[in-house]
Amino acid sequence: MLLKDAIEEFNDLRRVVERLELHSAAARRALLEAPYLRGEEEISREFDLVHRATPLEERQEIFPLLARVKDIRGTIHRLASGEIPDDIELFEIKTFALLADEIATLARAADAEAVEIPTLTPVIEILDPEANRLPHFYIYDSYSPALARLRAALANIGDPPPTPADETLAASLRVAALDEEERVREHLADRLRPHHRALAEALAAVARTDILLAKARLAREMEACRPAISPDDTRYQSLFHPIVRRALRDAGREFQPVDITFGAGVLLVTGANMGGKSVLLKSVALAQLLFQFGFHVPSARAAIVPVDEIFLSTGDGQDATRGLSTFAAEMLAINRVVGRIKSGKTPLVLLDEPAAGTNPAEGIAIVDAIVEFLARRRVPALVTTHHGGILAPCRKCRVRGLARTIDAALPVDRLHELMDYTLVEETDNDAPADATRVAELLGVDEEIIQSIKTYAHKRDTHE
Amino acid sequence: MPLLANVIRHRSLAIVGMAKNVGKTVCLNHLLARLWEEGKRVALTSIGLDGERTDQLLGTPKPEITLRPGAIFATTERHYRQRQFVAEILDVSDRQTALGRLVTARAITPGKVILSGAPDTRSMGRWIDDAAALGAEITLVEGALSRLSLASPTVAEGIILATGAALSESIPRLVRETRRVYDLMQLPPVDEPARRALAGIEQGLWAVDDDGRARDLNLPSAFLIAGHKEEILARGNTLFAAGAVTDALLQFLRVQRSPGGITLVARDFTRIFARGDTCRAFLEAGGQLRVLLPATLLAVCANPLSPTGFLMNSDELTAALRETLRVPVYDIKRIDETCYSKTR
Repeated sequence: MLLKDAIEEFNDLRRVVERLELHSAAARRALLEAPYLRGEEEISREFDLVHRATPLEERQEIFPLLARVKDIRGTIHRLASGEIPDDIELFEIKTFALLADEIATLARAADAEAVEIPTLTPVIEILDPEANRLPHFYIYDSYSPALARLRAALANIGDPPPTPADETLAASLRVAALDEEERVREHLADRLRPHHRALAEALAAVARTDILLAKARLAREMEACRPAISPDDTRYQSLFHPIVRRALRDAGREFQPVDITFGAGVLLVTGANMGGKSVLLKSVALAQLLFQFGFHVPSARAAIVPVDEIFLSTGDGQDATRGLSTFAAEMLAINRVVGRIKSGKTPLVLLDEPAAGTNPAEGIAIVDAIVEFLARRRVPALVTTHHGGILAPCRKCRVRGLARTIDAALPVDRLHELMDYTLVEETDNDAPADATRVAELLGVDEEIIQSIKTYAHKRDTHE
Repeated sequence: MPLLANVIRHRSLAIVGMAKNVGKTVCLNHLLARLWEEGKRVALTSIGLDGERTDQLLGTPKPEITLRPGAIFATTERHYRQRQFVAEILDVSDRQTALGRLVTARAITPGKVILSGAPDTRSMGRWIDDAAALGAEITLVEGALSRLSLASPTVAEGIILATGAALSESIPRLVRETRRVYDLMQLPPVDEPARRALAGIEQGLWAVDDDGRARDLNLPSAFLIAGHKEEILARGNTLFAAGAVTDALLQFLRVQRSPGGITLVARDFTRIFARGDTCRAFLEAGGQLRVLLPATLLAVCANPLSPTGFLMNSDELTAALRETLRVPVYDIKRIDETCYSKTR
């Protein structure tokens, strides 16, 4: 999977990746083609490189240089495949070689050469025969004495040519000069061609440098941390959702970060409505995705187990194009992940209230079956539910929820003040009973609240 | 004063033609010849004219400006490849146009090329700065009065307006038309806070609210004002039309009878397509017209010869123009004469 596919599937990831400040066109393309990193070594090498490149950020002159790097992949490819570059392409190659050289020099000076930029000195020597290191280009007289002679003869005639005879002579000299220029280009192409691989590698290395610097900067701005790679449990200390946090900050509120630990097998998360369960799942999905693409994660500390893929079901994926209901779309999606697990993959499975929209008795059975399957296969999974009485083997925890001491009706936009998003281990098997209190605090009509309580009591005594 | 002495202290100069064949190129070539005589390092560019570009896709127009060695110029990738002279590439822009990217180069040998230029006012301004950094002492911008051109000729420090018999064979009519554009070029700039709020907006109809912020009225086009009467003046009495200021827009605003009067801000004089009488009626009803980018008109160049071969009396033409315009007027056919007779 490439980053460009992942951002299609996970919108939160797209929104974070869009905040990367890339300077070169080459980096923008390379970023989209960045691979999902699976191996522990690959992942930790990427974090090492970000760390290694970081001092280069302080060299402000690096950014205008990166901004001038164009994506000349097409030009390099044409050179490699035997075509003769025209003046504009030769200009592009020369400009790039000079820039790559300057960037490499800066990186070495800052002792921040995370990715080695191959030397392009031979390329510069070919395209800068007068050795003035200016990013300008034309077919210089010094390339060919014949060309120099033709040009001098043309200049001698003057412009416009004084007589018709001069005019004819000038025209033939001009054609001869154009032919000679083309011969020079052929010769330049032959000399440059052996360096096409070094050019392509340098372009990739410059793009990588740009991406590493952008990652380092984003990590700092997002207050993200470098995660450790964990062999057993994934542990987040003060995990947050950067997009939700920013929206809250804009509204003058703070995001309450959460500590969470989970390993192979299912962690069942229960808790009141408005308890932040969906945001928790999305935060875990985003952090895992960022980790797998070698980005710092939005958390104070983290140790993460790499997985093969990430599966997030938020239960709101109505597949309108196929005319499926929410329930059907959800079941088919879960079925796909079951298929992946049976084929030997280990995904991170994140299910937000599966089977919530169907009748409770069947709903519980469906959740039981899914949890049972995931538990047996030792798949790391987080499942949120409102259903009580899940029998399948799993660890359970609950969002602490509403503070017990307050019961005055509150404006709905301030209800969050009473909400404690901390996760606590749960031992009993009861369904959380905060829904009535939430309804009460929301100021739902007293008659309805009383009736809810009466029915709840009847049902308890009936059972 | 000779034309050259009038313009040479400016860093950049736009030469704008009232119509085709009014002698814009003659004027440009005259200036170039004089600047080169003075040993000035010159850069040349053109305000992208989409209409002409389309023509260029169909037929091949003849390049009319001969560059001397050392001249910095902007052209499209395609025209650069077609050139018949030696030139050194200095820059290739990222932006693609129908004819490829914009190439900036320096002529090494003399030759002819079709000029092109950055597609909007801001990047045109940057190009002029870059040309100066590359050593140009003065940049000449070939301009056009057209609703299709994206960059504003006001990006240059001064403007020379070319007019002539191609516009009309009647002197009074030619003078009237030229006077109309002259008047538009005298429109005062919008006040500074509003200018800051509106700077850089390239399209749409906007209002400046009481807090001095620009608010997009989200109208798809100024031509669709009739259906959106309520929204238009809800935000404030200062409106900015980034696109065309038309008869319809001015007439609509004139009848709104807004207390305190309406101030309409156009991007620059090239964006006002409303007839003179419509503008006057708007002003008489208490409205005010302002521009975001004010123009500095330095001179008017008149061409007494029409492309059909009709030749006006040059003295009558220049006298009539001088009577109504408060800027120097030059006859391009006798431009050197006028220069010398004035200096002696």
